[in-house]
Amino acid sequence: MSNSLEMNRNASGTRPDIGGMVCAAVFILLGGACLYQTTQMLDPDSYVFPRMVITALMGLSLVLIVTSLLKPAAAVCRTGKDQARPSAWRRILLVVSMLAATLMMPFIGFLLSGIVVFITLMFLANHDAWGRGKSILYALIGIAIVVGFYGAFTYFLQVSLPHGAWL
Amino acid sequence: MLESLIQALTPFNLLLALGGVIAGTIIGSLPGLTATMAVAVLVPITFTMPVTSALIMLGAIYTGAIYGGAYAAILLNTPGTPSAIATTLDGYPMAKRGDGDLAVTLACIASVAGGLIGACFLLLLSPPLAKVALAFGPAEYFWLALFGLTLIAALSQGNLIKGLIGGCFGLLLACVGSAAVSGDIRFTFGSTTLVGGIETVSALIGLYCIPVMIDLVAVPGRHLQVAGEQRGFRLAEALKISWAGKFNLIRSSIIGAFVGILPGAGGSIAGLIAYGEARRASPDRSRFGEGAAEGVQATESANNATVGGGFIPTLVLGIPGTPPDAVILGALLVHGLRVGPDMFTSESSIVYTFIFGLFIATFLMLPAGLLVGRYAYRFIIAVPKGLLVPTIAFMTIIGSYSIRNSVSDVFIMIVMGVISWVLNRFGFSPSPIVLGLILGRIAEEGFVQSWTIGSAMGNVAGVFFGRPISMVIIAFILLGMLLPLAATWKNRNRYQKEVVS
Repeated sequence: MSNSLEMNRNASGTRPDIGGMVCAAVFILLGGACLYQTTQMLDPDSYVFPRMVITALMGLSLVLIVTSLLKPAAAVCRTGKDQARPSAWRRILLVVSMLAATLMMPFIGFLLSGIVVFITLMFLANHDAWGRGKSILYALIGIAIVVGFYGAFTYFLQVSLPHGAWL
Repeated sequence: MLESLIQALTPFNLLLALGGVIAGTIIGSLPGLTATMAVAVLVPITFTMPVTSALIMLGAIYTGAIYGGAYAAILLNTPGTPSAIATTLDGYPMAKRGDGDLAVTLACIASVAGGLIGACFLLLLSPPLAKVALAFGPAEYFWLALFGLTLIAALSQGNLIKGLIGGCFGLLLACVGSAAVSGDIRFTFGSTTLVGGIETVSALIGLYCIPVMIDLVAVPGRHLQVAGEQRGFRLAEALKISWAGKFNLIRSSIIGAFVGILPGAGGSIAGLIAYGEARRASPDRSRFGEGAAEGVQATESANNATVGGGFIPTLVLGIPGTPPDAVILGALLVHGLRVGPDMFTSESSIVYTFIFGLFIATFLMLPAGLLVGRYAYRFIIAVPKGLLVPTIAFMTIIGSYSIRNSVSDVFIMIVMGVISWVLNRFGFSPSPIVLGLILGRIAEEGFVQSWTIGSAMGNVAGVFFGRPISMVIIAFILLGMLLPLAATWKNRNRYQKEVVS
């Protein structure tokens, strides 16, 4: 994960932490929206604690923006040796395929959506050449894993997984 | 007591303890399947057994599941159970640099040590410690949650403000859904997906696991560093490190046992507090977060010590210390046992047989845990990325779904993962967010209840500051905040002197 990536000062060491400031600005906007919601709550039990948290969130975000502007040398960016030539489209497709499988789950069932997402991610994650034998073997292993977990959760753990139209 | 020990050592009970530990370890190692779920799923098996055997098996499943959570935390950066959250902090960096086998063995030894110390607390100190648990009111829980939040400094990975922002974001996420006390629906922005709130386990699967997969698919190459030669269990090396860190193990286990006694706190909070204390006590704090063995030892001993600690209020007061204890309490009632202060005298043979059974199960965790851990490690490093990533992804989906049988939780898990990945790229670590998420509800409940009681009494300050336990916790909070500041100031002075000289 990005945890593994090293935090290094950027090359010049003088550029402001733009990413950090953007995140802080988003937190301020989010805090503002949540703060507005608390004005519509009538029970103090509902809004006192969140208001304290939101105020702290917005205040700290503001401090981050100001300190990043005043002390640009403290700017950080994330770079790492294992991040050389990362594939953006694979990352996006991973998230999209997981979201799509979750969306499809109530309609086509857990089993089918599980198999679809497994096979999609199998192709996304493999950077080596595919042969016919390897493709078939991986697909069979994937189907066995999905069916195995489906069976274990449905019949052993008694979890009611979405059935949809085809299981 | 000797009779109880002999009864615990019958072949049937030994078999149940071993089977329970292995089953618990395997279930606990799967992200999304918590120790509570492991115990709940296997409870019906115990209904036909004698009550002592049933208790031994349930205790073994529970202790095995808490340990099992460490595998995924170390090898995949995904806590198998919430108790293993803090294990990711140093366990995964150890695995990344090629010491995953050592980390797994260290986790096993620490879990055994913590489990034994927790069981000792249960055996020797149950009645007085149960009284301590009863003395904890809402204000004490509020301060305890704040004490937990002081760990943000330890989890911030170099940028305190970003860590604090992450902590506040986590606290805000904990407020989503129905309010802790009044029940009002908050911060859903009209979305039905958020009405049920952010489920903690789903969120932490997303926060830790999705970024791993996003990075894994992006680049070719192996998932973990692997040593060229086979190094076995690395037991001798792990024992040597464990012996060197014996004070850390003992301190963390005591923290775990005490936190386990407090109803609702649990292994995740115990692990985080123990991690923070281990870091604070270490002469070289910079190694924490970079793969320090002490970090793994602290969290794993603390979370397993909560098992014994959690049984104290469960057996003495009938108040479950942790969620799995609640399930075990239900099983005890099915068996017709009356739980309460008299249990240690009226049902002493059952209670002591169970406690000795817990000791035996914890001992059995050493060979069983080492063996399962070794195969888990070999399996993870041998599986090609083309199979590893879809398997983890599938497990995160099914794990998040199965907690509340909710597709919304799967969505939230994925979205939280993407947010975590983005924030991580700009220096916001996921751990403070998780800390805020876990402690948010405890903090809010404690705050609102104390405020209400104080308002009714006309003495809000007295409720928050007037009780001895509160004052002790506040003193710890101040120490926790001031000591790092003092250390920073001291280091800065030393650095300036060195520059001048």
